[in-house]
Amino acid sequence: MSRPLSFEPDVHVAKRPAEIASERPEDTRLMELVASGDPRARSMLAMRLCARVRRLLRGLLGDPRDADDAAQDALVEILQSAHGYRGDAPIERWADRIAVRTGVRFRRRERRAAVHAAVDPDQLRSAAPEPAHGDALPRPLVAYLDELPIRERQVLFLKHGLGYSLPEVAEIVGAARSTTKYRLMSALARLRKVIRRETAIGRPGGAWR
Amino acid sequence: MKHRAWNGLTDRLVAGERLSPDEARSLEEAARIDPAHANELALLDDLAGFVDAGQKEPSADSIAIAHAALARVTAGELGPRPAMERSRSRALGIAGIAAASLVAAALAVLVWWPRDELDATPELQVAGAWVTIASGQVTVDGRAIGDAMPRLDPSATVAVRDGLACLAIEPGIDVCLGAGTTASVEGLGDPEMRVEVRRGHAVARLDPLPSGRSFGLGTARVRAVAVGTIFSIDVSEDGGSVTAAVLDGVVEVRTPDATMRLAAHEVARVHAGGIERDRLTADVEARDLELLASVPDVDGRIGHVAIDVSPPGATVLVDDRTLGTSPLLVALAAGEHRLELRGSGGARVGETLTIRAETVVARRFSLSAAEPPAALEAPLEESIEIEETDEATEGREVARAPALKSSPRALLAEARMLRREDRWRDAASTYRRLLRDHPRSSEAHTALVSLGDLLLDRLGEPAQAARFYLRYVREGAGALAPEARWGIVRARRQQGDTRGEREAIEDFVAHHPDDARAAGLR
Repeated sequence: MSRPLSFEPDVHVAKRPAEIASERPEDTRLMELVASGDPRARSMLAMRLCARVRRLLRGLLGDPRDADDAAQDALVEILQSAHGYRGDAPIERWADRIAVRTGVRFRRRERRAAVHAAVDPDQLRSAAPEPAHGDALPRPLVAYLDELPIRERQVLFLKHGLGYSLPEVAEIVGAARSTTKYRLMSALARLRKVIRRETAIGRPGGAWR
Repeated sequence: MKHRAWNGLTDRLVAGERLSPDEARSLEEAARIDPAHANELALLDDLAGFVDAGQKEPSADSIAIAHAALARVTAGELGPRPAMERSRSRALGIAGIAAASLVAAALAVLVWWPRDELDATPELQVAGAWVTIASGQVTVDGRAIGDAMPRLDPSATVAVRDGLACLAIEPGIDVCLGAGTTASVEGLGDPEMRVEVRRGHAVARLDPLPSGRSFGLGTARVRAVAVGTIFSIDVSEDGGSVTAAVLDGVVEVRTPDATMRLAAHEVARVHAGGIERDRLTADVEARDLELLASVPDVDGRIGHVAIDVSPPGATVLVDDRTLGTSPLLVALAAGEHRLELRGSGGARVGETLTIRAETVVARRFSLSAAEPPAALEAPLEESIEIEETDEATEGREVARAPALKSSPRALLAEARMLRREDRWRDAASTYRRLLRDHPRSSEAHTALVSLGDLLLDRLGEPAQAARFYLRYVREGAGALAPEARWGIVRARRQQGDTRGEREAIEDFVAHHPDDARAAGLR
């Protein structure tokens, strides 16, 4: 494992952004310039956040194309909401919340046509490539997330990928806490099966074949 | 540590509960001993670092997305904020250095865009109930769906003889009706809306409803009520037996004598003797999700197209997505769409449809593989009300299907659709084509199990079925491994191969000891 897992309840297990120790005044100044419409500041902010926002939405939504579309929407919203930044958190953490909100909203819009995509037995897996992340897991993390129905994926990612508490996750996805908890446990149960099978048969990592 | 204890602790961990120091130590100890446990924790650990593990330098695609967002923000300042239209990133096709120049060009265009062009596009407010897709023989109040406006009058009766129909009820509620279903929408606009199912099968998906509102599926006596979930109801031919199934969320099943709360993956069976709780089976879940998969995207400004083809039963694709078979009525976003029709004899035709919001376009075609080109009868122009014609106004290109190599996803969708229409042999052929044309795709891997099921359950070919199940298992298996191994057991049994069956059972139990079917086999 890359670092010890936290066994504390509802703490942010996500690593905090690297910029957490950066001088907040600079962040605040940057956001003031963005809010005033400074094109250079906007560009700097967009470039600073684009990869992170895209990766976050890839984790949250699954489909890479949806993630790219949602990332664009999220960046627009971030750029337009700069006046709301108070400097009490790193820009990345502040932007995460906007990206999550955009992603969940995006998913609601999209799922009319796509609810089957995550759970249809014929489409249990996505062939979308993603660079490997962990060195302990036989396959890239996203390949495991792709095994989950979207609702379970979302709550698992929000809870353990972004460190939101259970009540926060429930509020974000618009579900009861009990339902959210059930989805979390259901997600883990599915992943557990996959992992045990892979470990038992010594399946090589990488693609599905 | 035993699996059960491990599962209990990790369930609590994933749900955010506090673990005692002893429990945490037990987990870590177990993870040191068992690599599967270690991987489970590693997955959660990797997840925690996932977002931060991105590249320090954004990729060309990320830069393209950033530039597109910047262009949109700049454009928004020229007038009212533009609607957040989806501009598919794949359509952007911007990469690397090209991104900056393209964005510069886009900005130049936007500068002189008339302000009207930038006006926010109003979202269609779906007040009431609409038919969003109807495939096969569907009637509304006894009239064929192609002749009816897609908006439903209060208490209108929708009957699906074969095929399917999906309804959008107010914003956020989709209901799909399977073949053999008769139902009506009741209480539109009331705090308690419902779809009354007289017979057949209906599945609903809801966004969370505002406080004080609920939605139900039911009969005169039995009602399943939810405020945000996916659930379904099955009503027997005589109405005497009702089964409610919950795929997600919580549903309350009410009868005159009893009330039962169902959680996700539970089923309530209501009959003369009372009400019983049961577990949701994979078959029912797959059936319901497959039905819901037909729901088109009706957000934004929409219009409808009614497609009638002679002879009926042609496969209808819009924007490369298989929607069903003709006759078919479907809601589409306003704008241009690519329509393609495929006849059973191999004939196909395509055209570009222009859909205007809140209009219905009627299209009637004649399609025959045996006929030479120009056998197509062209449609009339669209209008607010449906208009139809048999008049041929211009010839269209009709040709035998060229040997196109469809994408794996398209073939899978086609096979699913054929299966839904009970065209088992055609579905099997399509799965085989997928295996032949895209042998290394993940879709082909999955199709091995689907094809096995088809051969075993529908076409009576257990030996062939076993071959495909075995291939799935040998090629690295996957999430469907329990189904594949279970399929081998069933196939051997059908073959009368006692020894083979015993070996398959042992294999199943060894690989899937936690599976409910294993207990019955031991």
